[in-house]
Amino acid sequence: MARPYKKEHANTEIGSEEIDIGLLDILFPFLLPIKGINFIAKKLHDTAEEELTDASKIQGELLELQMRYEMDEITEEEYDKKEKKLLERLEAIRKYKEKNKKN
Amino acid sequence: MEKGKYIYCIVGANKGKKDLLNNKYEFRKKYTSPGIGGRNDEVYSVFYRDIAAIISSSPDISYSISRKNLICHQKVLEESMEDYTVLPVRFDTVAVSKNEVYIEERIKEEVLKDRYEELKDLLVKMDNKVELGIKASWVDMKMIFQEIVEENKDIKRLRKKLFSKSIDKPYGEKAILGEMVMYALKKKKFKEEKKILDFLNGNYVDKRINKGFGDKMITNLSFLVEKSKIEEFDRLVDKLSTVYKGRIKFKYMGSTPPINFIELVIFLKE
Repeated sequence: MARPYKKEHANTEIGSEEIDIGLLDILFPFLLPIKGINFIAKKLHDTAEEELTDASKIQGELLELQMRYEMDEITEEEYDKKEKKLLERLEAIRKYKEKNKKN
Repeated sequence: MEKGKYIYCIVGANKGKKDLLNNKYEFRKKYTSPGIGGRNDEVYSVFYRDIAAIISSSPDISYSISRKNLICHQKVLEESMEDYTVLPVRFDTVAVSKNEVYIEERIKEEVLKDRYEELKDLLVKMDNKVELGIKASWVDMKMIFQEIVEENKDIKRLRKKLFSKSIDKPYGEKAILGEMVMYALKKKKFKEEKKILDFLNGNYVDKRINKGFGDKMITNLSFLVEKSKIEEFDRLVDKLSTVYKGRIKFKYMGSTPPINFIELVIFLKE
């Protein structure tokens, strides 16, 4: 039985929405500060050191990126570009850890 | 120099297919998919009795979860699935030893022979089953958030209150509203997910609810389905897609080996 590996349905819209409308954009079309709070909280959490060594976080981002691509939310070109950046960061972490191991 | 073997999966004879028990030649099937890593390594099998490990040569490195690597890994699994029952091994499993021939013997001894009973048991469980995946996401988020506001009196009230005041009010209430909406969104996703699951109920052996992302994605599901039920499952997903047209977008993937149901972890002894 021939069955496509990736099956798309009739109501599948490709690239219909370039911009992901978020919850906050709709609730607070002009109240930006709440985004600011999230951002600051996030910044406090992600210290530079953590970001530089947290490989699992980047792997999570890679998987999310793949899902977005599968759901046609980003184009192959965008995917490749972002994947390249994330892979470079992973490589930097690997080198950083290797260096630390030696020291 | 250390030599390694990348291990893709463990395979066994498929019921209803040709009996492979004593047919070593069949088990030495040549793969058309190249090995992972872009070095054009040959993919082949190492067997013990009626089970085999599907492997290719590899240096002692770690493979990142890039799409290229994942597709490469998956292709070998899918090719294996054509003839055998497949038990996927965790992505990025490289067995390393000082000698390439020796490593094959070790995989045979320490994995296939030592874990034979466990592997046979899993092969029986996975026999004649495939994995099918459904990802569902809302098409129009504006509509969904409007629904949330309409369905929740407290959210509606607080939102009205906030909008009637000037912008420079304390953030506290805005943050509370944000949290309330997030909670309502989660509940809404859960409800829609349940509807999808209820609709498919009875047509799968097992299911996994996988991690999703963002506001739009409702659910990310994997189903273990009997081969004989695939057509019925297809029909039901088509129906789902029709019923929710304009509201929910479905991505239907399959058939794949049961990667979300089995993930063999393999370690060789030190």
